[in-house]
Amino acid sequence: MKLDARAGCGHAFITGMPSRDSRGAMQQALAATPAARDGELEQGLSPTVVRARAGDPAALEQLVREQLPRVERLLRRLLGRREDMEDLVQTVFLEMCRALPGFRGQSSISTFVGGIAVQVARRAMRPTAWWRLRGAMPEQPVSSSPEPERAAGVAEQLRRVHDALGGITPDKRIAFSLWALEGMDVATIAETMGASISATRSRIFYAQKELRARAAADPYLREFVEESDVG
Amino acid sequence: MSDEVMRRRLRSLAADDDDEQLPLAAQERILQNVLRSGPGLVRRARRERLALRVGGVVLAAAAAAALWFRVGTGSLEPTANLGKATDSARVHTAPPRPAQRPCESRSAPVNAAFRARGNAHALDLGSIAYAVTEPGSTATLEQSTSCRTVIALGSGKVSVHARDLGGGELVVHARDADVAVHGTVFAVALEGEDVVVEVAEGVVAVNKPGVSDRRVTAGTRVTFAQGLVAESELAARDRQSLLETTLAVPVQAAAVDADQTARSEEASRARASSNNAPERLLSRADALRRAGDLEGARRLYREAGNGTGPSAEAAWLALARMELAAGDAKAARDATTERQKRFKGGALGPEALWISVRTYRQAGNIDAARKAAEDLVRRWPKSPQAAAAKRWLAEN
Repeated sequence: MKLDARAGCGHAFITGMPSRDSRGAMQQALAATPAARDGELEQGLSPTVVRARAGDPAALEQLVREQLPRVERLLRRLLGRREDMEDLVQTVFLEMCRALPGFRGQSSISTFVGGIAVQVARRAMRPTAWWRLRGAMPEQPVSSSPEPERAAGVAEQLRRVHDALGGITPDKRIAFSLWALEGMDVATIAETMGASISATRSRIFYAQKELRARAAADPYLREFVEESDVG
Repeated sequence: MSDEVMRRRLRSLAADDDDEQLPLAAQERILQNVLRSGPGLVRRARRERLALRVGGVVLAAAAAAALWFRVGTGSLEPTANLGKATDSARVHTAPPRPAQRPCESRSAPVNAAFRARGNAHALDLGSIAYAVTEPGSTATLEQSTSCRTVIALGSGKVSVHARDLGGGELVVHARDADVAVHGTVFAVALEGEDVVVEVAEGVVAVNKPGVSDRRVTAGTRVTFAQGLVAESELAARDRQSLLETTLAVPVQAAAVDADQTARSEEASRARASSNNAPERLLSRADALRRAGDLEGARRLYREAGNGTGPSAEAAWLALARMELAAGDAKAARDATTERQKRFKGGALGPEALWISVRTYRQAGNIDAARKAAEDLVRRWPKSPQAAAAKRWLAEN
């Protein structure tokens, strides 16, 4: 693995990192007075979000319909396939309803909802999470994929990836999953997780290192992590 | 292996799992539960926030009063501060301007209309929307303003891609039904006395006598007959076809003013460039392959392969794998040869060589397969493909 001088803290540079200039601009934006910033931010909210913040059912419905596929995908990326996915998705949207009045447009609505999904996923990763204490849930329907064998292979590989990630601490696991499985850039992950960019970069790096060590022993996962002197 | 290669492989694995979604019934249950409790939760949270804010102000006022009584005189003299506060408040008491809807800042294309395009007619509203009729259909543009677009369907079928309504509205009138856009890609057809609505992306709302604001979600086909509504799943092939119909056609501005033309062309270029990025083409080709449209997938894989970067290289190998699965060893070999010509020394060398081994095996040329397998083991001994090649060499 190549080290990049830009990393500055002894680990590999991870792509998707904002430049120092853009970070300066972000810091300047954050330095504005809170009241002025809130006012400016609120003016940029979409009409749907404004109505949803007031508790308008039609706007909430539109918001849920727009965000539901993304929330489900995010949770699947972070936790793998689970029988209680429906409960988790619903929890995200109920949490969103509680948090909406505090949303001022500091980020996009997708990032805001994504942040809530990350919190719900983090709770679900805890061994004492209430849903792990529940009884068995109904089976998922059979895959609708036109290539069931391939779909089963993909599912098995993903299950193993999540098993390997399961031994990593939640913050590192979430940062890495968003980066590698969801394809987010580091700045967006930092914003979604409410962490600094350097902390996020560090979490991804160490998660990657731990995943390599765990996956090296798994023949299904070796192809994803093994060295390949190509080029 | 570089971080990027590992990331790309995991991302591709995760993308292959994207077909799995919560069943529509589960999605609807979530929506109903959220709608039952959500508005109440929002209102309660607002009340709590207001109470906190008022409490904070009262506490701050109490703290300021305590401080004033403690300090007594000097710079904290109350009347002077009160005057300043009033002046400052006056600045902010100007009557609020009426909020402008986002769509009001846009301009609608001038003289837009359905124009002949091959056997069909197409309506191009630049960055706002694009609609195309099936051959033999009749449709007219009834209204085109920055905030409202109304298409009247006389007969046949019209497919619509609402690109960016900017907060405005797009409605299709079909006999006595109004189909209003809440999403992006859908089609409306008149079949005898029935109105058929197919939605590929997003949500539309249908209003007609006896039907009030019926939502039709993505992946659904709903037939509205006299007093009867029948809903079924939109077949993957139909959905793909609908997406292709509305997305693949290049944008051409109608007779519009100079500013509109410039904006439309700029948006068109940006869209074309993003639509033609190898990553996007590759994912569209994968979707077509999964939907069984091998010819379409073949075309898009080749188009993606003509680009540059890792996705372009991966496109040739995806094409080779598809051809191999379809039993056409020669086409698979052509794809790997093309990849070798364009991306010599690319990052996917082991995968390419392993596909060659499989291609030769399928064609019955065991000697060539053995030679390629030995080559793979020699050049990339640590790769997973080399392990598979070793196993095969040992067995043969």
